[in-house]
Amino acid sequence: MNIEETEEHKLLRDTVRTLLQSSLPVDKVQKLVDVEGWDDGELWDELSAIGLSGMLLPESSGGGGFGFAGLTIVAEEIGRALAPDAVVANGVGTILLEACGGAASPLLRSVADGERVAAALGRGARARTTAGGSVVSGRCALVPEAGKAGILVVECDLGGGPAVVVLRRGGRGVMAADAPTIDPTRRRYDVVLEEAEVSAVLATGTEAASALERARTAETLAAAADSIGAAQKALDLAVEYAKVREQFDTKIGAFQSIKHLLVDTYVAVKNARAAMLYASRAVDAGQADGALAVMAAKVLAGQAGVQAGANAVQVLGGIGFTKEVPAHLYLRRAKLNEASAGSTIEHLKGIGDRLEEVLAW
Amino acid sequence: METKSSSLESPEQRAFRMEVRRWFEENLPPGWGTPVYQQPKTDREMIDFLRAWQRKLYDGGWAGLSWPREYGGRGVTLMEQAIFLEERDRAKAPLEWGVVGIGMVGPMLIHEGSEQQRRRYLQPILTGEELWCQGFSEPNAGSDLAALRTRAVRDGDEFVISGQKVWTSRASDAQLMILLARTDFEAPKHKGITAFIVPVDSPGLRLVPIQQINNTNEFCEVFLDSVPVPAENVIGAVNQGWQIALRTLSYERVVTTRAFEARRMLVDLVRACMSRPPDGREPSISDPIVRSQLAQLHCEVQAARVAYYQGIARVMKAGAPGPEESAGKLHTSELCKRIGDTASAVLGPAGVRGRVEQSIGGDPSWPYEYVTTLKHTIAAGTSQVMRNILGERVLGLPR
Repeated sequence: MNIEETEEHKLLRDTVRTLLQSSLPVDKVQKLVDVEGWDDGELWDELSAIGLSGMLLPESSGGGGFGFAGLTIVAEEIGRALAPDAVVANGVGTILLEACGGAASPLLRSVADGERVAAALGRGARARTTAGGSVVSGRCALVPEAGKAGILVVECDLGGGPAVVVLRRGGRGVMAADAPTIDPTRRRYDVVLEEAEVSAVLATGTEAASALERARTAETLAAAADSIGAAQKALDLAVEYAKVREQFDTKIGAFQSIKHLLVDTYVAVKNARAAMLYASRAVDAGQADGALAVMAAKVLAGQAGVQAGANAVQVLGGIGFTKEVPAHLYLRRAKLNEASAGSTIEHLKGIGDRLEEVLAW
Repeated sequence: METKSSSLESPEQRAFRMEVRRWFEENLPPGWGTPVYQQPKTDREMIDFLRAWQRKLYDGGWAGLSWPREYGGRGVTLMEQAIFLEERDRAKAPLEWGVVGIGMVGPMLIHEGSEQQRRRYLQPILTGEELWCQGFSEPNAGSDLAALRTRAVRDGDEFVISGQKVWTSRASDAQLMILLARTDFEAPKHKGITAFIVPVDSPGLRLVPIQQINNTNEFCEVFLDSVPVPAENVIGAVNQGWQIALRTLSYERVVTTRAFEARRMLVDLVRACMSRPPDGREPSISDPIVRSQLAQLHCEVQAARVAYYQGIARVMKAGAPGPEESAGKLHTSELCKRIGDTASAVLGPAGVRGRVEQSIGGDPSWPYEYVTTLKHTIAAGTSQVMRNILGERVLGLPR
């Protein structure tokens, strides 16, 4: 089984990590989350400048050809840094456009020129055909990037089947409202569509279904990777604290109640990361077990992220419940991930409905 | 059905896996893995069967996969060995006859033994002719193994050993024992220990079997009363036994992984949940809560398996297992216990029916499976000791 990182993967990881460390150190995030209406424009420009948004596209489409493995590397680094995830959300949007084939080519060119794209997955809207074209109505909850992106790609119902349509931000009937969540490090939007004008129907039927499946896979893996990045940093924070904090004349990390709690967290994060690495590579390789592997990775990453975040708050004690330290931000980050791209229960249900695949050994 | 095990394997690894799989299919007894199979009736017959199976493995070239060819091994990497272990558990084939010899003593002699010892002892381990047991634990030296008190005193060309060992698995069937004894009584406790090869039929050595809770009689108490052992039976140097034991245990924790056993148990459990109970009720798999519990276990099994292969790649790169590999031991032994525990919850009566007695090659006996998993989180380092090792040596937390 070969799931190790290639030299190119390592370079990608180092590049993103170095940039984030200098642009957005964690103390800056701690201050920014309390600034009303804080905007991630600067970071977006920096990450775009190194070409991250296009990296997921195959080389034939002018991208970096990093595949899902590349997406998870970027998402994991962004989670570690508690950074805004616009570049990941755009990556998912780009994957959806790319998967829709030729109809999306002009849009992909705009994206390559720097336009931002948001994908609203989950079929919260319904489209219908009118004399002058198509219109779409409905709600899509907690969509990343929807308040920033010029291009909004929406999964919707069209005549009882799936469809992928494109809307323009600012177009008639398209509203994106700020939606606060438990996680103050990332912005989410509720998209409300009222007879919104569809600028293009990109895919319908089975073509739409398979494009959406690909986008959902990207979104799910990215959420898992983000949680794992945040979880590792939360664990590091708690371990470092346990090494220096003294009570009862003893470093608290010497107490087995603390030590074993941290080890259990370490094992959970290690396992979730193994499952996530496998899943991303299995999907890239077109393995038959890819879909199941993605769900397993999301379940474990969701759980490990929350475990690591909550245990960091606990091990740091009183200080852990203050904004002096970022422990709570790692936890909140993990919580949003756990609930996004299919909640833990939804993925467990998904695996539970395909248990015959577990028998295929 | 198409295998899922091939994922991300090289064509060579894939070919090796298929070769192993075919060999198991062709060489396990007829009806193996189905209720038709009748397992050996008596303890004696079981031992004969397991010993003959080991010989078959050896003749087929599957014993001591990662051992050098000159000592009867196959000379392939730990990665092939990992693939073999996964296929073994897939086929529900018996464990090698004598995991102590194959998993511990062999690697120990290959790395630390004298050339003479390698020539004398390695091959009979692989052929099943000689079974080894492990004389490490004592009544007052369990998790704190270095507190052992068995004494070995030099007397000319031999050492004279006195003391008591416990939890010595399969001692009554074994010919040889790997034993740790104190040889320097002044040194700090980790520094005065030596590793010995002790024939079980030595004068002054007495065995008392102990009943285990899964109704196997593998455990023995071992009483040593002035047992003479030739000095050439020292492994490595005198007073270096602790370092040797630690290195050996680190290999044992890799080779005796429960990752694939966990997978095998889960597959058996899912299958059992799919079958209709004799009373005609719906199969328990139709219950979404049951499915959700099985799904959670699947996630853990998946991670355990991938993490194991990652660990093997790491060990191959580093040349030896590091403390990190204790994470797999901790996780997979606890996971097996959870799967065994879940059986009664999801299967109801079918999860507790039957005697607690060893079953091989047929339908799983859940009572036996579950009770046996309780051993996994104790043997080769308890889960609590694993957490100490990981906390101190991997996370760097203070002692």
